Amino acid sequence: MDHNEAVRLQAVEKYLLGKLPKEQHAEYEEHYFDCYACAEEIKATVAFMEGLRQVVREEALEPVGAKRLAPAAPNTGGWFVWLRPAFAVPVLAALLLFIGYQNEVTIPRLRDSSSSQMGQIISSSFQLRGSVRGGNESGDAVNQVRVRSGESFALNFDFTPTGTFSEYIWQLQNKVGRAVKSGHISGDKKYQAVSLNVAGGVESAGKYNLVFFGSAEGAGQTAHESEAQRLTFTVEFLQ
Amino acid sequence: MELFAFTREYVERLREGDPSTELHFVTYFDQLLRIKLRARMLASETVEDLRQETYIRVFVKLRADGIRQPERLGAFVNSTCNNVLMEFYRSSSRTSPWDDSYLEMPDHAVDTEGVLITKQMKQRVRQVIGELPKKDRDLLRALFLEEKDKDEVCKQFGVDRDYFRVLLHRAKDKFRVLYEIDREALSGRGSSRGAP
Repeated sequence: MDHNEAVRLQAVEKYLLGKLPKEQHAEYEEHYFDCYACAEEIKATVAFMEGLRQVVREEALEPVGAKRLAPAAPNTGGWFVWLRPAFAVPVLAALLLFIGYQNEVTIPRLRDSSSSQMGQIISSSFQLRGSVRGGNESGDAVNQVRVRSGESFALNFDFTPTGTFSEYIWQLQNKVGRAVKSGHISGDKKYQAVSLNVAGGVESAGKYNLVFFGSAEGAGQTAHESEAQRLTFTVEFLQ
Repeated sequence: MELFAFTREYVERLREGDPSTELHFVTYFDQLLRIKLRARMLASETVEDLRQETYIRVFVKLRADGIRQPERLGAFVNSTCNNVLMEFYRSSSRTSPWDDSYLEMPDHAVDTEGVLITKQMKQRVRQVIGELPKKDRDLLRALFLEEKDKDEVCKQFGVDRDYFRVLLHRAKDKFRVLYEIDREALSGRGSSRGAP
């Protein structure tokens, strides 16, 4: 791949978004290592994407008070005009209806939903260490998760299970070994850095195990004897 | 933009262990290696290990045998990294020695987390997205904040993935102009060719 072709293909964005055709990956990589212009281009694009990611997250976490909550009063009549009963009463009534709807319908629905389609914002993520079966059970001294009760969080770890399965079942087990959450993870994720969202957080603080079991296709049941990886961590609730 | 090229003199200084040349070399290739390795969704620790191993092998080879085409030093670093990757995957699985799947990238966006972003760069990013039409601003925010499936977000906004890619390309170009201005101002240097 030469420079002109890389530019024509807009290879840098496609590569970084995972959309460059596979047969062009190796060629483009060789090219950006060899071409100063494309090397600078990819570095700038990465900087922009990461900067954008950080900026939008910072904006999302800005305190509500930093934003204007009500429209500015019109110049004519000053802001006291909003307090006149003819206007204030219907506005307050509408507000009360809205608050009631949020409390009775929207918030309970959001709480109940565990679907990732709801787009929960995960503001806390934690790196877990300790990756082999039966290994580092005392790793909880290192793996601390500090969140508020009920707060969703993400667990980041290297997925390095023993054995090879097309799919793995994961269980989040509390200190007595009861599974409080579970899910599936594709075998394609083996040896990759994985981020697992714990939507809605956990109900109680304490020690937890994230355990992976190999699941043979069509087996229908978890092969408990195929425990493939175990990660231990401790949850501490923030006040 | 003034282009930089690796020369025979540069490679000789690198072989001799000239500190400023070594620093330039590592600074130049560090991010490229991280991008290449993180594109394979490898864990951070693995990326660091493989990056270090690549540097070690490059320096050992350069000091022992040199390099026939100094201007292709970048291609040499890339192929050394490919060898390191191949050995890593081999040691991790029963991949056939003729299997070049280590070269393949997962069909995911490259993880850019961990890239050092200065306050000034963030300011420039804000400046660029502030100048975009509201729909494009909201689209970028949705894609980079909520980390939802990108196809789903594009569908919600009534655009396709190509629109997003082109939007990103244009926004990045604007950012790049500002980024280069800041860099030039910071370095205070004029144009130069060859080694620093």
